[in-house]
Amino acid sequence: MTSARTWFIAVLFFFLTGCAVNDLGVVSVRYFENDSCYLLARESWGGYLSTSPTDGSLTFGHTQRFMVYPKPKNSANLTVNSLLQHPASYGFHKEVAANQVVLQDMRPFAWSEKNQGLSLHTNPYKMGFTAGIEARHIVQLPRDFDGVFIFHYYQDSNTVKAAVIQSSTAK
Amino acid sequence: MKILITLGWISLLLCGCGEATHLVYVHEVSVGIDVAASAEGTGRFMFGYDRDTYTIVPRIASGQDAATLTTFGCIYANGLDEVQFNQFVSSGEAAKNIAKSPDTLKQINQAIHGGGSTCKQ
Repeated sequence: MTSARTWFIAVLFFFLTGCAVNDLGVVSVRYFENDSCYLLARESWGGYLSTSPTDGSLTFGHTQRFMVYPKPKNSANLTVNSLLQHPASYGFHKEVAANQVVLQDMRPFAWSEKNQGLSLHTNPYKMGFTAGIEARHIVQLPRDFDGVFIFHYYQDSNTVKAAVIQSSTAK
Repeated sequence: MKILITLGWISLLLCGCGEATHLVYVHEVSVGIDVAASAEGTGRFMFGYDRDTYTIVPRIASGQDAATLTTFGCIYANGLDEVQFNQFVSSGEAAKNIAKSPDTLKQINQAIHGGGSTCKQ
């Protein structure tokens, strides 16, 4: 009970002070999709707590994160040649509602983040803290992944493009 | 200061612990104070400015060879706000098929690097 009360008070504190926990609070959360991936874009000001195993952290200041998840059922008939010839085809032009996106416990295949202020990290890539500005761009694929993954990120224009092709269709 | 030095030593000691479970490409930059340990990356203890770029290629299974890959990467950084990060990663059978096709390799190189001073946009 004490633990539940502590959590309740912590969450209430974050809301009242202009802070956010995952997708709740003072945070902008937008989802986009293309044929093979989802893009999750988050931006938060103030205190932001992420409890995700991928980017678990507590940031005081400003944070902006883009995460690319493969679609669980990727039925698109994509080929390497078609993607390379039409790079615009794997941009994220279509915004979708959060309830249409099912990410379950998937780890993203790629993400970019920029934090300004004080950050405390507790994730596999970083356990520690940063005071200042930090930016991180990561592609991570499971070691049994068999296929093709393409990822483009341009920080100055906040543009993300990505595509996943499973091995059976990778040509 | 003692705490920072202690954390720095811990991060160095923990650096590289454990077996990688993911293929990882990382580019990161920090300005300020940065103290970190990592299970799937590099530890660091930094004041000022630092930029890191690294790749971790896992074994396909414990005790076996590293994963089969055909990859292209381009990272362009100009200050803190102009960063371009392009990656093409293929693994397994897809990597073998792509590596056998010179035309596809040329096409991928063009799509990732673009041939200019910055990455292809």
